[in-house]
Amino acid sequence: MAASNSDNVAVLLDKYGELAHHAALEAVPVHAPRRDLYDLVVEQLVPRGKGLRPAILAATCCALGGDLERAISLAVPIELLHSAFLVHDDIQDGSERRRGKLALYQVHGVPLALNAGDALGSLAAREMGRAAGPYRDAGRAAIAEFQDVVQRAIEGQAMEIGFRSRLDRASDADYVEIITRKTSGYTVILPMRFGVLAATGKMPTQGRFERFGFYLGALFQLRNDIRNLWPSQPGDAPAGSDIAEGKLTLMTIDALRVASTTESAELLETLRAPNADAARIKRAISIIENAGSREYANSCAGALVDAANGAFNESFGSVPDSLDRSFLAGLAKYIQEN
Amino acid sequence: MTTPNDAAPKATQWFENVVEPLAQRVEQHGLGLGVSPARAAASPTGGPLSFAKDALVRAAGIGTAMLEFVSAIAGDVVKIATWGTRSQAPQANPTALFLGNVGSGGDTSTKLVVTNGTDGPYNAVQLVCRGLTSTRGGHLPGSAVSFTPPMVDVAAHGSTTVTMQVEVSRRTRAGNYAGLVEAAGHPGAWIVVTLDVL
Repeated sequence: MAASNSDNVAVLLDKYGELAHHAALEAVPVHAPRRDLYDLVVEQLVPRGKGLRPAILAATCCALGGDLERAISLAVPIELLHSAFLVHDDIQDGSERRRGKLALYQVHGVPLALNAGDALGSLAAREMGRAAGPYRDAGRAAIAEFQDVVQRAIEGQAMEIGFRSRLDRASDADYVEIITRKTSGYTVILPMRFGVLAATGKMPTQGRFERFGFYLGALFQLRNDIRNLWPSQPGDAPAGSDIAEGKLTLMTIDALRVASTTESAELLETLRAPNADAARIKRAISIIENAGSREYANSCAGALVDAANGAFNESFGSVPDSLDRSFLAGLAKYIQEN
Repeated sequence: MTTPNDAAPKATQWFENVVEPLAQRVEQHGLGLGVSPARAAASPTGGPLSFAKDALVRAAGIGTAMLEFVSAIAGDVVKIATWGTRSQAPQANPTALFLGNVGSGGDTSTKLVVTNGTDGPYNAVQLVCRGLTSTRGGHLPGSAVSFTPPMVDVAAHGSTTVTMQVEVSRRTRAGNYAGLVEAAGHPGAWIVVTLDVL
């Protein structure tokens, strides 16, 4: 039986994600202070995430004929950086759970968790330096891009948090700007560019991967936001934590704009309420759905899938067929369906 | 309110008016995004098998564990199972197979069991390892890893044992090494192996 697109994508996500996860764990110091720092760092890294970033990096490298090992070493700083962001995100959002268990700060308190998040960020920078070393000038360019992307992600996070107090003034453009900075850069574009570095020893020219990566990153974030309100997978968190956190999403922007005046005001009040209870969250989701904003967001996701598939050839059209190329080609559809 | 009929054209408009201008900016200016201060101020499977991994870890004696990697989709099952000691390091990945501690100039070996859970035979299955790499920059090349026999036939619903040996040259740097063992042509059949060079 031929493997489906979804199966192929899942296999490489799993395989490359596992390798990068192991390498990231090995980058954690084993000396003191363990109990107050490095054990927390390990706790944050386990269990691992979906493996999207390392898989994109490794598949890009392998599709171009590069060595997997080189790809994994460049994936480690991105994985560590991502974990650092998650520690801080959970504190900023007041999220209770992460990957099926209590968030780090819920277990160890904010001060130690915050410090562990800082350590993960510092380890990411250290591993970036190590991984870039063999590439000389291209490695220095890679470090600069890594720093740029970190800065963009922090900017995106600041914008997202800032908009929580002015949700009624947010536009669709604000949402796309935020997710571009926060997600597309370090989740897709940078991993693809590092994949080329690992395969060729050079950073790619400007413009070859950015459009494809931009669409994929936007799609990934939009689908995450949709799933937050309407969970569709067994491991998904309970519906609506984004509502409780007053987070800016395409659906909330749209519903605030198109729902009736009364419902729009009710939705805004819930989004601004600290610790809205389950009944209010359920009602808010219902307002969003009644406004047609779920349908709208799904159509927007569809437009991004079409755009990503169209842009794929610009990035990988000249690359010979392989499992890794198929993975990249099938990623947009996979993200849309999962 | 957006009706189902309105959603698609509205999304097209969103894409053309909001997404495309930013896509162009990212394409032209890259990860720097070309953001002007004014703008910032104004707005914020290679073969017939396919696999989904389900790792199962079972204790098989004191200090040892059997890591059984079962990959199955639509009735097709291929396993690489193996026996070895799990790393005691606190950050060890519980799903990676620890091959042990080896001094430079030494070697280590382990047995891998390749199991075919399908209704048809798989002939000339080759296990491959492209090498192991340490996070400290060391590398054990694929030529340091050998499999005996190099190629196996696995009968339908049968299994075959392969011995994996890793030779560590005297020049190999100390550190923790990790690599991937795969069944060539069966991209879902794989296992991460690790090794400490002392």
